Amino acid sequence: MPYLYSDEQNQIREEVRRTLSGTADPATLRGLLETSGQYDEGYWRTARDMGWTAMNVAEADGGLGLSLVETMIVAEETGRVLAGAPFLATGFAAAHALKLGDQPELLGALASGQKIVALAFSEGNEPLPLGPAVAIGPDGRVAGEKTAVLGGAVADVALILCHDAGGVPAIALIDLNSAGVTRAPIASIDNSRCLATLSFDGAAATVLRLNDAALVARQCLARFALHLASEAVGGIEACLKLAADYANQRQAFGQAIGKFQAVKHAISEIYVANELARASVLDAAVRLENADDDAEAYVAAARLNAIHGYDYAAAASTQVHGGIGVTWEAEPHLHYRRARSLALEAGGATYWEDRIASYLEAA
Amino acid sequence: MSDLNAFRSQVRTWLAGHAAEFGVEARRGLSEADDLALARRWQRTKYDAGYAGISWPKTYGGAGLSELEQAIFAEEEAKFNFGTSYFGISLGQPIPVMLKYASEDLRQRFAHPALKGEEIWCQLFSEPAAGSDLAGIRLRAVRDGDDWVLNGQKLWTSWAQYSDYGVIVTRTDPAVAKHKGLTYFWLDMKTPGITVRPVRLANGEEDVNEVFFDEVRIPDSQRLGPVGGGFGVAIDTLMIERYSAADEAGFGPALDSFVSLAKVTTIDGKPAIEDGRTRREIANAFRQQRALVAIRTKTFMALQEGAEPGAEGSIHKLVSMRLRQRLSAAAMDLKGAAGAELDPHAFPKDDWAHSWLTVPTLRIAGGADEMLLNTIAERLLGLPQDYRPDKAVPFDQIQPSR
Repeated sequence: MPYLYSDEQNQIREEVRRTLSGTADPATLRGLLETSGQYDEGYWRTARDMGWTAMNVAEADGGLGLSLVETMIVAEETGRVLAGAPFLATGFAAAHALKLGDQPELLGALASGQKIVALAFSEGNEPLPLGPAVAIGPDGRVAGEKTAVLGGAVADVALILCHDAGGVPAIALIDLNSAGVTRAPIASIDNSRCLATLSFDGAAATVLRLNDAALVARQCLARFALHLASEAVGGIEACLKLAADYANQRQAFGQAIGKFQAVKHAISEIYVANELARASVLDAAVRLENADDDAEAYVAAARLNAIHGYDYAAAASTQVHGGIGVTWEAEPHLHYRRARSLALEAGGATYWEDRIASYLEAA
Repeated sequence: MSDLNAFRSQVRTWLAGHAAEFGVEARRGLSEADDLALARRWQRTKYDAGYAGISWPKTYGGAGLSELEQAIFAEEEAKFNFGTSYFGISLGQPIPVMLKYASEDLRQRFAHPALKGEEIWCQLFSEPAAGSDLAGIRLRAVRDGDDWVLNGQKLWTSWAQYSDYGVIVTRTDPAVAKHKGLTYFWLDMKTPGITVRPVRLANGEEDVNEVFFDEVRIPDSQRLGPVGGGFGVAIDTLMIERYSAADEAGFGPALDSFVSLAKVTTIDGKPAIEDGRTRREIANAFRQQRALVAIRTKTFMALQEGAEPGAEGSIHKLVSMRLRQRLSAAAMDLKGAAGAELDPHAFPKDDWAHSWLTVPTLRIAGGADEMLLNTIAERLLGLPQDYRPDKAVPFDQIQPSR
């Protein structure tokens, strides 16, 4: 029953939720926001110890060999608590290319959590540049720059989309601690995402052996987007709870503000957004798992439902909280920031809208 | 799921075989009387094939299958635009409520003719001053010996002009709180003193009516439930839970049709399909419609495993109707001034202008958006009920609604 969670899957969710309730918390995230290039090491240690980094990697490659659905359950729970490190998402997307590109060693290190892998595909506002400016020269060394790479400030390795020496798109591995690599952390609306600009000037690279690197890059981006969408679903649900709890508790004009329809309806709309996004993400995960031809269009739908849902939920939850909601101490701004971060990290709405329009145009 | 899939494909084949005789092309251009006659023949055809009342017990003419088969049939049937709406209310609420509250003789008497499309029932609930506030109705029923005498007015009564019978909520005791003074009956729509007057809606249709009651006398034997217990029966009527037919396009034109239109129209001399604004409309519709389908798939699986239906219906109506309204307007925009053209022989399912003109009715019928959002907030999210100052006040001391 792929659209209904099995007992085992529900147990995984319970376990992840229980584990995270003692680990990630808003106070930690607030601390991270005040500094660039730092992440929640306690949470990340837990994620590795619990095997979440290994979930979607095949057992033969050192992973747990679970399905996309289990992975998305974990993603959702980390999104719910605003976990302060983005590496599950980047690792999940990178694992796809590493497996196809025959890099079992790095795949094993990724699964064990020994190495953090960043995904450096985008250039400018294009999540998947058709003609990447970053290029490998005849000497096999890389030159160019990737801006705002998620996790780039701390990752050990980057998977870059580039031109190879023959001018053909390629995906290459670069050790970010090697010569010829400079990283500049970027201050951002959510510093826990560890954005950095990566500059390559003669950095050594290993090109993945792929038949069609452009296609694989697209598949990686879809997985990345799906992971972020799952995190957003957790975020929407957190906003729903925050808003409903506050509306029940806060009194004004002699009654709980939840009695006012303007407030009540804003919260019901979060619920609707949450249901749409959740169903859409699960649907896309099942299609991706089955390698359906139309999976990318459904990932795009999930991605957009998540972007719009979380943006709305964070803003509406803040609105319900009134003045207290815009203070540093309150939680709504953490979701407001995270919602926008997630919305930008795997290509903005227009990119995914185009994926859908192109799919239907060709149908 | 495989049994249901087999059922679906069997149904699809059967329906397709009748499309030419009863489907959208056969209905195009018919007067309402002729359309109703065709619809009655279609209903009879379904009855004979065992497809009317799929989830009803066999003893009342049904097939004794589950609500899932019923929903699947309705979904497939909706794709062909057969004339089914005349029987929607009749078979959806009044007859099921009769099956629950009436004597066995009456059940047998009424179930079969209704399923065959020979007799139509209406539901007399709303009044000019009581729509969403069901307990606020004023139509009086006064006891007179073994009879009750009804005076007052109902409104928004679907298909009353074709109905043979109806179920009705009346006020029998104005001196108690508004929920407590109601009593429920069934009646013959040809009873002397009943006047039915169709109401023309904004889209030009006349499927709802005003119904006037002037000294209408009915026997106490037609009462359903106890005197003063009418509110409970009415809520029961509304809660007859069924996972009703759902169409992600909100029974408006499909998204494919919008994409086709965008391919043949231009914006600034370039194909509309290449314009970012068009692409955004398409993506917005796709993402929401696919999510609704995913919710439905999940619901089907949950129902099959024995779960009770939840809020899916509310979400579906809310999202699909808003979307239909928006996409219809966008499609009319693409056509420019010609978008205003209203083909008298077209249907909302295949024409953007008709779709646009009809959708405001649907956003209100069966619960306005605001009521659905209230229900979600109060029943699912645990938010407090709206302030209801008249709740415990005797009805005759409440300021009348205006």
